[in-house]
Amino acid sequence: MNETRQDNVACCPLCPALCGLTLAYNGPDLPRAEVPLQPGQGACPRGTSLGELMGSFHRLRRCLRRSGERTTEARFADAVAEAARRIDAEGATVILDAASLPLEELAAAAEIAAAWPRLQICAALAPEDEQMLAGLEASGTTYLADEELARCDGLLLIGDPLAANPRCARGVLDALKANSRMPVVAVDGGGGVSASYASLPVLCGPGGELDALRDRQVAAALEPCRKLGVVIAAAGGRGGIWARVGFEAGKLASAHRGGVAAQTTGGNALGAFRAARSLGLCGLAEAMAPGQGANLRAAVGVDVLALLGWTGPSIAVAAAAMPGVTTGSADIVFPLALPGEIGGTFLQAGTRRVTVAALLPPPAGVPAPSALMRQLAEAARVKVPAFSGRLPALDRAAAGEPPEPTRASPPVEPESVALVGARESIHHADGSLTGAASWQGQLRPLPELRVSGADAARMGLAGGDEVEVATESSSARLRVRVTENVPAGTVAAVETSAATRRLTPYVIDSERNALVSHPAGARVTPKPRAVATVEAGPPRHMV
Amino acid sequence: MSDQVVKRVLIDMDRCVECGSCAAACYYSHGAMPIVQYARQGPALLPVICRQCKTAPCVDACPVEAMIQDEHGVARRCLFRCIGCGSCARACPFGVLPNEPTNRQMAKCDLCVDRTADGEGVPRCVAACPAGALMFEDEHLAAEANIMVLGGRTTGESPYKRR
Repeated sequence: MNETRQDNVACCPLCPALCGLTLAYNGPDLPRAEVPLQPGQGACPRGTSLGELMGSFHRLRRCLRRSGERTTEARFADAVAEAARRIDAEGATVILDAASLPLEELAAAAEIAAAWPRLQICAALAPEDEQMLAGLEASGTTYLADEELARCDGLLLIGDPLAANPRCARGVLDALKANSRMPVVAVDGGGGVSASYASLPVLCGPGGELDALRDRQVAAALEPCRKLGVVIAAAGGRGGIWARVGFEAGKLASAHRGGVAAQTTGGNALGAFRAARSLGLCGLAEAMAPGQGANLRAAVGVDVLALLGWTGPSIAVAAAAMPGVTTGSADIVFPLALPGEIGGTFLQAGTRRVTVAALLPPPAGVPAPSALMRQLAEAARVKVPAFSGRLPALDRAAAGEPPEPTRASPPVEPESVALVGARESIHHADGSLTGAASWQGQLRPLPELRVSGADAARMGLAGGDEVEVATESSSARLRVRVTENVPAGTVAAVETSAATRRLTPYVIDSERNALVSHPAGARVTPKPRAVATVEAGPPRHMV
Repeated sequence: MSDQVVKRVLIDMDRCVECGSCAAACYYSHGAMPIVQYARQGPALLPVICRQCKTAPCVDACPVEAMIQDEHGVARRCLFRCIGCGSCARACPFGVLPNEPTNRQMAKCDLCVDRTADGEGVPRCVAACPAGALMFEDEHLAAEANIMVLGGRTTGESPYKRR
């Protein structure tokens, strides 16, 4: 493999852009992530919130132990001893947030698991990302870096990649600036901004992305391209289409001598996907399947219940930087380093290994995932050798065609609409990390529901209205945004909170060993608009 | 003394991808004072940035002379004079200044004077913009480059409709 190497000072590891960040302080104790001095480096709200999260009041700093309804603080040594005893007795699957972790952490975790057979490691990626990457790898396509998009003479945007990684917009828009007549096809059903930049916007219904790729009109629009750039970001609520979409997108890019820029959740998703194969780590579907593998589950750095939109099963051990659904139900909770506090090697654009330094070391006593696993192993009297420093092989998987997905149409009753998921640029993944950031909370106290103008008129909704969205699985309060980038009859809820993910929860497709989120039929009920009240007397600050 | 702002923050509306990076960078670096606002709803989901008016109504409206125009023509708020009365926000013809005070003081864009004073850096909103929609450019150069400037901001083909 022809790999290049690049060293950076500190980067945001939350998406493949790996934007540069430096650390600055508001006063002596409150760190903040500072954007670079000159333009061109990016840093979206997710990255700039990392500094605040490092010093956040909400951050978990101590161990917690739950017995019944009661949660008490525990000494770190006691919590480690109890967790180690339970793991040693019953065996455990450790679910790592692999997409945001450097390769060193995955390799170290695999070495610890090799020394302690009671541990099984799961490299967890966002389920749709995992399937999309499987399809892309199977297609044999080449990967493009964001800046290479500017040299393409045609673009195919699938999903809402500009929300998944706003920095890839620079390459897309530079290409458009160089040739304003170039074909840009946007295939999206989630109401994202990508369709606004397309010469051919294809607004598809739930799971219609696959049909759109096979559409004659799309093929005709892309026909003249000599170098096609495909920019793809997967979202939930589409059924199990992403492996096939990734495969066909990769084939399409190769046919036009181009490549694919995969915009995943987490900066190292592709590296983790390849490393998981070479290290023998299992996937999230296998880890969460009932009756498979070890008895206990330990979620380390990933709010697995929020990610999947589940309320159970109970997770025995959770380690996280921020409280979430999983830490709220776990028996033992450990504090954990944030993604920006762990340095190491990331794989960017399929071939480029980028060494990233930590923005700031974690607080005293707060371990990185591999350090926590090492302490657990040592508490169980397992001899774990020091980390060898060997990075996993990152060979791509063998080519092969993924199976056709099973089609799942949502049961749309009268007066209901089809609900799908959508990506958003201000939150990371399920929002369990960035949900505690103050700017995000002020800008968007409620998640967004994207509704077409026709549906909004039919349901009597206006932009900014608060609504209750109810599906068969759950209900959630969202705020309406009216956009013409979502087709009539479909509404899209941004997947950046546990509540919205519960609307279209993931189910295990045991046949394909994958986690799949199907579109759902949803009822949208407007909530009464708040009436402004005026207090008598002068404003409080003038009294 | 020059009362002319040499450089302005210009927005290419064709390139704005509504990511909010500009507002987040501004918020986190100015002690949670949201100076670059971000229109929340409707078709104008865009950053709302101070245009640095040549005759700034916010400066005229301030009853305690907390708003001043410095030697570069940048309208700035003097932290220790501001009483948070909101007169500047009501006077702003573009609705840029937030209506509510933060920590009893009004937030006001100073073009990140800590970065731009030496002429080297750019304001944080410009540096953060991942799509290249925000520029920190000399207004006259923008005119020479045939960039249409409307009310201090750059627009694309049509000021009312994105691509």
